[in-house]
Amino acid sequence: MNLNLILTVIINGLAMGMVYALISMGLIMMFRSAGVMNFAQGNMLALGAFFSYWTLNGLNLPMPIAIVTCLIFYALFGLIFMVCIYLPLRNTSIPVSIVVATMGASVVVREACQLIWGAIPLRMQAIISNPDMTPATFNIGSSSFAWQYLIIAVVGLALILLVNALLEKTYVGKLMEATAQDKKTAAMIGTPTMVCIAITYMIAISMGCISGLLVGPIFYVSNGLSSLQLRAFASVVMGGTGNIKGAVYSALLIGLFEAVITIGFSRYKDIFVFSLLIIVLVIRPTGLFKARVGDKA
Amino acid sequence: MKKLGENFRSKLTAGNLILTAIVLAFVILVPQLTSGYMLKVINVSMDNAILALSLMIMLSMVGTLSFSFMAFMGVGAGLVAGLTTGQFGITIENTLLTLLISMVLTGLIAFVVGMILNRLSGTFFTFATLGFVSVMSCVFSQTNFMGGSYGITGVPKLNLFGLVLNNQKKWFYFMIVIICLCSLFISRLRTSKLGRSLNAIKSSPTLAVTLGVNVVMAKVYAFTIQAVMAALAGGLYVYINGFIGNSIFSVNAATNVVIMVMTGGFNSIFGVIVGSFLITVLPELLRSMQSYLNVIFGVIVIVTMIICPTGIAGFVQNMRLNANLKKEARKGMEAAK
Repeated sequence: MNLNLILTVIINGLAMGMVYALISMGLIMMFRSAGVMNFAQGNMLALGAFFSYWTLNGLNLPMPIAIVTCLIFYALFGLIFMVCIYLPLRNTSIPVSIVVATMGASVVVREACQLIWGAIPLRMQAIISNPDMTPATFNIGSSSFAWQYLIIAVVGLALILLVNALLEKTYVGKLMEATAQDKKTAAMIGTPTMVCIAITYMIAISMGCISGLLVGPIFYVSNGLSSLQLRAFASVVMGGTGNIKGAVYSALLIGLFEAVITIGFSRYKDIFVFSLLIIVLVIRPTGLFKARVGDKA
Repeated sequence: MKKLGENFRSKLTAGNLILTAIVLAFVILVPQLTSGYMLKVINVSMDNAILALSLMIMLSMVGTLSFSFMAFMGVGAGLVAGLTTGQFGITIENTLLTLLISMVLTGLIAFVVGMILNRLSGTFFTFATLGFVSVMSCVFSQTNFMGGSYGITGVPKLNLFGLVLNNQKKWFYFMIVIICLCSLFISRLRTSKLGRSLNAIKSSPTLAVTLGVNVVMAKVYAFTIQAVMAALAGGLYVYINGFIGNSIFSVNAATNVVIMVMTGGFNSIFGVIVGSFLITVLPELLRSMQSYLNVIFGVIVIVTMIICPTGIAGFVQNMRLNANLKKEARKGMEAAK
């Protein structure tokens, strides 16, 4: 195995792992507040990619303004999602009904995206690109890499650390943690639980949308992006469903594993990735990482 | 005998009569009013109902959401298509026998998979089955099991001891019979030993163990039964269509079936059938009208879940319960006067 191949695997693997980590971090934050997985998270990815495509290529906004517009829209959408799905269903006796409501939301977002932006996959400009619109590359040794992968890895890592710091170090984060752990007690000691949950949803949905913004230039912008959510589900479950760090580590593991598998068995990578999930679960039925005691939502 | 009569009379309420009338009208009118493509959609919706009933076993009897039915439907469908067209080297002429063989083989596979996944519970089980569906849908689309990217064509018509089901009208009546059989089977299963064991396990596993219920195997048996029903649905799907594509047994299709079961009401057999009929036929009707109506379909699903989490059947049940309560309250008032 030569050095170039190893470098390619590591950069691609880490970049995709970061994307999965971003999605699964959003997923696990919602999982802790509602107790079920959000089946619309993959469509948030597609929505994020579509919206950033629209601001950059449709409205022709300069990059920084476009990104700020996107972020505001994502957070707003998170709020809308929370009001439409979480609020009416928060006291339901049947958890599966929330799952199905998110499936319905996934249909709504998917069809709305298709209505607005059409069914044809769109080509999005890379964040760093050559004048002729092709993605810019850099060289290490004799092999060249797209800047986009490096940007994804760096931005992803920065975002994950930022959200982690927000949750663990700041006052708001502590309140959100308290709400996730025990809603009733948190409300009793004066925590504004609804505000905390709203912030949780805004962050969680934004993380899904931002990963869409990041992967948009690599894959084409289409509703097909939502299929990435299955790998995020896998990483959340492998990480033990209660532990944010566990989900992030498993997401990186899945990204790297997938990059290694892609070398020889590109066609069959789904088989290997999800077999890994099943094997891990059979060996450790409650995931790789233990839920931190207080992390139970 | 007298008790049986009383039992029958107690079920002879206005609601049940209306229900029976609607079902009879449906069975008689649909083949007269619709034809061709629409009738095929209705037949496929009844095929989906079998699938939804198989999910209902897991959801209402075992109490966990499982996506595995889609993988087993694919296995059943692939086996039927492969064995009738000689894809695997052997050709079986008898179509009914092929269906049975594929159901038995799928059951065996499901038994093994069930034994493996049996250790998991709750969310972990649900997402392990989702992973299993992803693995299998990759197997279906990338290997030659389903004839590669062209799929398998030229599957013969189902031959019922000489009666060849060669048009959609015959299929309609056949599917009605199959649905009735499946419903009977599930209502029997609920009161059988296995059903009562599952019920005990659902309310308290520890208690079930002390009562001598085989906790380990009961779940595996239920898993196997749902797989066999899914394989039946898959086999019939192949026979209805006459061909099989390699990308239809996907996670998205599985989530669609979950929506069917939940909008219909996962505790009621009739509700599940109605749900799968609505969710299959509605988008088909909406698509031909306006494209934005598909968005409304998603909204309908969300609103259904908010207003009646137990689905349409649960909603009707609640209304009946409220009406009965009101009636009793009125009686009490009159007695007080």
